[in-house]
Amino acid sequence: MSRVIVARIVFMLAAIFVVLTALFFGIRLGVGDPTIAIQGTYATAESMQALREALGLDKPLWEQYLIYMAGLLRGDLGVSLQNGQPVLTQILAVVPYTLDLTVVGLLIGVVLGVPLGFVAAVRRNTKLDHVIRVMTLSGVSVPPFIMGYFLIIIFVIGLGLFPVAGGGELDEPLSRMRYLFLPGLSLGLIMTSYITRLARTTVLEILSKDFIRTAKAKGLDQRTILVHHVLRLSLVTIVTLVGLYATITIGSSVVIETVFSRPGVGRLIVGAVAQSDYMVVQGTIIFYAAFVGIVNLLVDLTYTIIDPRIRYE
Amino acid sequence: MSDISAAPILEVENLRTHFTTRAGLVPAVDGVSCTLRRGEVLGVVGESGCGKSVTALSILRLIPDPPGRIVGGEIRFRGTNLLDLTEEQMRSIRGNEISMIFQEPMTSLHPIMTIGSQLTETLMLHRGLSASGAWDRAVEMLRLVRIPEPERRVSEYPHQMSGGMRQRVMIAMALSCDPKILIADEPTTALDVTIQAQILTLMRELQEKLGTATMLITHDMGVVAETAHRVAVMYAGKIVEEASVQDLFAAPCHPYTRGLLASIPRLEASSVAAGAERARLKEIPGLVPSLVNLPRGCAFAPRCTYASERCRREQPVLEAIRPDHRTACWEASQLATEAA
Ligand SMILES: Nc1ncnc2c1ncn2[C@@H]1O[C@H](COP(=O)(O)OP(=O)(O)O)[C@@H](O)[C@H]1O
Ligand code: SF4
Ligand SMILES: [Mg+2]
Repeated sequence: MSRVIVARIVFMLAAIFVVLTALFFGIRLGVGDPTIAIQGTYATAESMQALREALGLDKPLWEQYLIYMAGLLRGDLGVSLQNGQPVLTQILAVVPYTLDLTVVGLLIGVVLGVPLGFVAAVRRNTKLDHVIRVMTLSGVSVPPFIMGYFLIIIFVIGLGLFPVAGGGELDEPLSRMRYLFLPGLSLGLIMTSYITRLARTTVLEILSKDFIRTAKAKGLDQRTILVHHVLRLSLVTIVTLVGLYATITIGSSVVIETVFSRPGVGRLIVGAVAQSDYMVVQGTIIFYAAFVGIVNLLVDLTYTIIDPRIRYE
Repeated sequence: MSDISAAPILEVENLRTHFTTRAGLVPAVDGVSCTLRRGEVLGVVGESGCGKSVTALSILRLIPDPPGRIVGGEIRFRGTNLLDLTEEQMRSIRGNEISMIFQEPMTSLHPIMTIGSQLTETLMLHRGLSASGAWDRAVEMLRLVRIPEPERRVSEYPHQMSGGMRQRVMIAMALSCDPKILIADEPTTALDVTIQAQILTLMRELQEKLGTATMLITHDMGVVAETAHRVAVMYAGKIVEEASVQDLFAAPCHPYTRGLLASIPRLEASSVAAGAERARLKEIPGLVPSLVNLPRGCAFAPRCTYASERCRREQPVLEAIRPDHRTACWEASQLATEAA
């Protein structure tokens, strides 16, 4: 078991290394000199050269790379090219907001999506199934920013219930929740759509299996079959794919954080890209890679609990 | 061996089960009549796709609807037409009075439930046993089907067992409530040859010991010869010949039955009846017909060497050619005299 965890972590680190290396060179060769972006129209040749030296950008690329990697090993993600603040500090300041958002989004997605998908599968081809299908289809096809604006129109402009922008104070749970409500619901509804579809397909597939026929031939009723034979097994598949969906939450959360002007890793990366702040972009990518890796690790651990076929030696 | 003249426990009469598919209406079972008597083993044989499984599933009313439906006939179990029962009444029969073993031991057990919990489910449901009482009975059943170390095996999962072991579990599960009827749908087809023999021996011994009336579905005439008392031969959704095993092997009347017998490699009995045809009929020539567009007359006509104009025009009906020996073929009496 622990060997699998170690292997997972090693794999995750290797993946981060590869992505980071590609990003490091790609960004520098592709985008070029960030000093113009930083100093804007007031830049002079001398001031730009001075900045380059201050940021270490005058050194050969491979040397910059080694310096960056050496820093990483010490837990140093470097400093922002824009404001000179340590990248790690900047990321850590907004991580709680992003975690709030993704955890709530996934939670809403699972809590609503699994039962909806179940019902849709069991009542396949009835009106209820069609209604659920249309709802989820809109959920996955509507872009996240439309979903966000939609909720803003209803809850903020229409009902005047929630604050529209910002993230609230981290140490005030109530304000944090008030600010989380709309973004969390936006992401939650998107995740609900994905998970409903997934749950429906999974349950339908299980219902067509030979062992369900066996269960019927034993004289079991529909309810027993659904609860004892279908539900737990469907969770095995759903848990795996929810792990995969962690990547969808990243994409959507970036957009949602922007729509709601909410602090978060997504908005940090968008700002950094706009300003050619390489260092912050690299740091946030490390965060995302680690996030996906950890979610997958949790998925593996959950497996061992719910699926007896998987036993790690 | 059981008393062949015993009273019927299951009478299937003119059963018709149809499927609606994109290609058209599939009359998978189209007028099947057969009788299962107390304590006997009725072999049901026929090539793949002739409607054996659909017949079996119809008896338990487990045809998936859609696409399938039982559109006609009667299935009388101890005099009661099962087709008249409510779904709830039917559930109290399934796994209790009539139980079934399937062809696919690898996929017929739930992958993430222990053998024990799968066995106890039926016992608690139909027998009202307590959890621990059912567990003890489950272990006892595993011992009955000769699974070694049943106390340990009962808490294992299917993936920890071989195909043969899983089929033993299926047999244990099917027999655990002392059913009156066991339907075994090709129980050994998916297994290795040596395992096949072991499972068949086990089933034969249990059948003799418990006297459970058994419908043994197979496409293998060899299995029928070794296990069944009577045989019903199916072709394209109909029964084309029905007789005692001895009669059928000694004097098969339907050309299709003869073809099947000739295709068994090692059986002495068949060489008597079908010796002349052996060389030609290694495999019955021609294809199993598509059920969507069956010919108007005898469904076997396109593959039959005896087919006449009448065969292509009129459908033969199942009629007694001798006492306790029925067949559906226009040329049957001629073939019967020929064989005799
Ligand atoms: N679920 C189904 N949907 C459509 N057609 C079916 C279905 N099940 C069986 N059939 C049709 O019924 C016919 C008989 O099938 P089956 O009873 O399984 O044959 P076998 O004798 O091999 O057991 C086949 O030709 C098949 O096309
Ligand atoms: S009825 Fe005619 S075609 Fe059909 S099996 Fe008999 S001889 Fe052959
Ligand atoms: Mg079959």
